[in-house]
Amino acid sequence: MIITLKYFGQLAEILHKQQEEMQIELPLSISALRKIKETEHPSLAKSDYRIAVDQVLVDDDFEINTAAEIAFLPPFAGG
Amino acid sequence: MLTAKEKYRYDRQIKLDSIGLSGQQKITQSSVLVIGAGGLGCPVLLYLAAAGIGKIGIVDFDTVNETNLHRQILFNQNDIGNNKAFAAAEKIKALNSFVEIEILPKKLDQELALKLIPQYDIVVDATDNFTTRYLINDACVLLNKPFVYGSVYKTEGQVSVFNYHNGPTYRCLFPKPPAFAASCEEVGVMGVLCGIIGAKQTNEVLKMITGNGDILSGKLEMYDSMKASSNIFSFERNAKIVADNLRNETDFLNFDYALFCGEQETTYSVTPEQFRTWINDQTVQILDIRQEWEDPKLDYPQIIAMPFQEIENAAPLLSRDQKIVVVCQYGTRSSVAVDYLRGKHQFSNVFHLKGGLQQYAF
Repeated sequence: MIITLKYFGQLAEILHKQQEEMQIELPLSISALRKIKETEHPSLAKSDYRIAVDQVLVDDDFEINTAAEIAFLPPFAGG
Repeated sequence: MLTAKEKYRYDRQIKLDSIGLSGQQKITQSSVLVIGAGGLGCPVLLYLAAAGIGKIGIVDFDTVNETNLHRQILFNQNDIGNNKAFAAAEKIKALNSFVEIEILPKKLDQELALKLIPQYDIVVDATDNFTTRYLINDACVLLNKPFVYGSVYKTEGQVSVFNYHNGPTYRCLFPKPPAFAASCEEVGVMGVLCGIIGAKQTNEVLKMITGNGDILSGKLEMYDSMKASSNIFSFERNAKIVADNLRNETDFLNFDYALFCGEQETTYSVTPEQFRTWINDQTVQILDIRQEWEDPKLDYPQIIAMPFQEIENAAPLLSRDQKIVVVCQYGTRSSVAVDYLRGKHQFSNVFHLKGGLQQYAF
């Protein structure tokens, strides 16, 4: 199955892209997805971010079952 | 009741079906506490005052400097060096003399939060740091007040409303502060983006007061000014997180927010003077974690340049037999980097340059 990954703020800079598609076998837990991306990009492991599946924030034990849009959301500091 | 003068002044918004005389009366009777009179606080204060909010509190300990002026639109060149709360109050008083203003030229701490927040209907978080943001969140939960959040990163912004009618809190969205997040001072920001995000925050305030529209409670708006697009993400109140962080007044007063948010400077630091001696003796390796475009550059043979975000890649290049000094522009990133290298990679010989290269005379 193909899932779409979207990166916001500083995460897009760490990954050098705002969006990508990923071919992966489902179901896939959020923690497994985190592990895959953090292994690819060690700097991501240092970042704090939440993950949303189809515009809804989910916890690490959530399982992605269908083709979905996954957003990586960091907190911003500036004001 | 609104006076004839007020009715005339606010005529164009009273004409709206969604506001009317009763809506304007609600606006006029309401009070809003704005924490931070910077990039976000300036547009928030302007629009709140223009709309005729009855009482506005302005909290800011900082002074205006020239690099603020591209985005902090309440201020002009004559304000440089003046306190932001006072300077902002002067401008919005001139804009609307109907508005009562409380000026608080102070840093918001727990004590001040407990004293101020009960006196206002709504709190606006226009701060630029996590220490104050978590403090505001916890105070608003304790005192049962809604707060409107806004924050910016370069050309992107976030907006949400927390603790509205027992809705989700900031901790439900981001349970713990990040190990590191860049400030506008360090990474830059588009001035107009602050205007957009501040205006969105004010819009939420006015909708709450007048009871109009849908509130961004349980919703995080992510605005991307380059794409001119918004994505809205929904999230729920996490009862466990809220309960675990609900402190009584005494515990709230004693909680160390700076420590919680990692804003405590590392103890492993060197002064600019010490750093100079090490450079002269050439006994030190330097890790420069600034971005490529940050000047001035150091002229020294043993420099490794690796931006903060890629510090992981720097670890294998660092010497374990030599002293290492991590440098950045203001000494914020380097402090985090040193704790990271010591904690994650067990370097025992790494220090950060206190005050950053801005404090180091070349």
